[in-house]
Amino acid sequence: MVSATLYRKLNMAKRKPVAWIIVIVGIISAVSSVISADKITFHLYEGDEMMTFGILSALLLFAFDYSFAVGFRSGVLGYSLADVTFHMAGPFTKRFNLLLSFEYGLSSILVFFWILCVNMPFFSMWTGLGTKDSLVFLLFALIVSAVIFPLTSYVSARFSSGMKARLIPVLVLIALHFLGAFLFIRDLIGKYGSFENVKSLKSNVIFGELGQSRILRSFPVAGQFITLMEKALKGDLMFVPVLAAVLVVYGAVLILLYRKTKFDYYEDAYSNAQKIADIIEASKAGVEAVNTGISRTATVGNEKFDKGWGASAFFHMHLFENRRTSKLFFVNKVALVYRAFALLILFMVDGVVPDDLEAVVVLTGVVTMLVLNAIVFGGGKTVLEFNRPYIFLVPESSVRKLAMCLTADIPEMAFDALICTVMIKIVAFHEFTWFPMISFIILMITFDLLSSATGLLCVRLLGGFGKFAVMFVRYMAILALIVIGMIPSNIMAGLLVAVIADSMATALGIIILSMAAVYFLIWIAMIFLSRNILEKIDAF
Amino acid sequence: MLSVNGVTKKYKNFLANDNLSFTIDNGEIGILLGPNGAGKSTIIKSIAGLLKYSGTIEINGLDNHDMEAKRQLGYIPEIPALYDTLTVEEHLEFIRRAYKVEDISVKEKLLERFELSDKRKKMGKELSKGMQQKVSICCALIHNPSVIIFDEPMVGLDPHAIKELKQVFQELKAEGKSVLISTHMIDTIEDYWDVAHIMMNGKIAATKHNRPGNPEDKSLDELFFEITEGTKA
Repeated sequence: MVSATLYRKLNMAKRKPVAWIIVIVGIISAVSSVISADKITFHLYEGDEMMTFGILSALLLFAFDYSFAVGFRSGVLGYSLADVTFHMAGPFTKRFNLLLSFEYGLSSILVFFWILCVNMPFFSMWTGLGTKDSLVFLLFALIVSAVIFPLTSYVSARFSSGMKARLIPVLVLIALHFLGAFLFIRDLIGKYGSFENVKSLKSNVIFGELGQSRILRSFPVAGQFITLMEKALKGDLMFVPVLAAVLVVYGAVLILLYRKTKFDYYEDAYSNAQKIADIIEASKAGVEAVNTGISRTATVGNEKFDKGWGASAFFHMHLFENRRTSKLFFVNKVALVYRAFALLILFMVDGVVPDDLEAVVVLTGVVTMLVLNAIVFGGGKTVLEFNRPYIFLVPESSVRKLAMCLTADIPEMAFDALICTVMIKIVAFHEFTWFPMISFIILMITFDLLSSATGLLCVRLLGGFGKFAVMFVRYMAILALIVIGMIPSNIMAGLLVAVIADSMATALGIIILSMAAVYFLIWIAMIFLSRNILEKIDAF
Repeated sequence: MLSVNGVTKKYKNFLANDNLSFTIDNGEIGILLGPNGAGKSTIIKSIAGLLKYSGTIEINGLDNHDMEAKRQLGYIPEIPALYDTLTVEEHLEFIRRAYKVEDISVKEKLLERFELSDKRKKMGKELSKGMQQKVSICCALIHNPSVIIFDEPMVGLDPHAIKELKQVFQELKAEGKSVLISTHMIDTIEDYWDVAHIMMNGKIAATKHNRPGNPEDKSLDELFFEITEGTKA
């Protein structure tokens, strides 16, 4: 049965020469990035070993979380229709088919490691991390993923029945993080005297404390590997036998779990297969699955669909579907991951910029969060409307129908904006007051709408050129829009700041609000132009 | 009334529809017959305004992209395209609201008519193909269109549902609506049609009017196989 599956997979791989080229380019860029870490001579923090280890520890925990999320999400809910037909109905054991599910998350894990590798020069510039140390970190990140990924696939098979059951492992993990964060802050307050003192700590000190934190070392799986990584980085060769012993124990536990468990996940896998087909279809259009709001679980309750008239029926229907799909529909998981990365950049900037120039940190935060929208918001559920005839058939203006579909994503955008606001507030506590904060939330929602409209245009105009063309053009277009929008907004802000601003915080608020105004106007123009994607292009 | 004049549709170098012209009058059922790839779905989608084309398509004298024309058109796609997480009832409510249909009772009437009342709380993804097709038909009829186009409506339906659907065709005809049905299942259309266009390679190869009792007329079967295979049935 293994050879039959391998035969099928290899044949599929042979038909994708472009994918092979991308893999080769990816490997070359990853290797050269790691090697180049040694060649970087400019370091922001030379020799701050505690901070460096703290950052690596945080990244290792992130690798743990990411592998857990990917393994749990793909797991038994990742089977395609073909897999359901050929594998579940075929002469394969449930255990073998569960092992097959590893494949669904593997590409995400590989992309994650590629991102880690190509960012090594960035970390080197920040911390002075060399190639050897980078390799040690990557090795441990790989080990953590290798341990957690199959474990979460197993967990996903055990907790496959129903939304509530599936939430249990996720809630346990989230609770562990909150508990860890609470205990870590409590330790810091104990050490530095008060919360006020902790707030004024620079990021390098916080990372240094994190690296030495007993709380982090106690975290399941990731904590133990952090301790071992420290030994390896310090050149203590005792880590080798200990690591080997730990891996043997983890391996034995995994084998035992897989062998002894009676799995019963076929029905859930089958019912999710069609959903996966939708996700793949959305992915072909260059839109990340999570961004389409496609959910794999939904149940009918007492809710009633009774709002909307004409084009606004689309708005209310999307909201209704979102609410039914999940009570936490406004949480964009992809956005959270990328925002966490942005927070890391902000900490770095905060560590370098003098205290009296905190406004620079705020503006860096604003631009960084905007740039990430190129990845986070790519059209949302509206992309899926293009697979159905109703958005084309309903006798309403195309501009209104599109606007109504896009604005249905505002709750998600607002939550994302709130998260971004909190992140900037953490790093730039004093200058990021209420006025710039509210301005920033307005700016983020406006720009999210603009990013989504750009995503739709790219999907509809370039869909035939394939996923990568759509994504590349979308990224470039959004980056170009950021630059284009900055010119008039800077002029507007320059005039207004000179007349109104009485403090740096007010000036920041005016600058951000000016950007929001300009991007909103561009969005209106883009929606008006986008009507042609309904009226002048073949529907399917 | 549906009027198609000189419609041509090209996909790169492939000519899917080549200068098609036909008319379906009020109270008339038109059939588009043809093998797979003959261009039936392409012209149906063009009429629904889903594709770009050259030529003109009019619904009751209005260009098919006109808002009023869209209001008068009902389209049932070949593959039902329902929303996964909306129930049967919510689908009808959504379409009723999107088309601004004031009469709430029409929803209940359709649910009753298509025996969907007991399935009203089922989500789109939980329905069988036949049930999905029924919901799709209800969505197309809820705004009381005067021109209704069906793309391969019999595929996936059980014999009972096919019988029901034929009854619906007759009712629509009796109400004076123009009905266009695309199909390749020649044995399912029997004698309820008024005009049949046999398509081949994007063109209308023959048109036959249903005039029972004319001994000189070839049967639809004979004509179809003569055109598509070059042989007699």
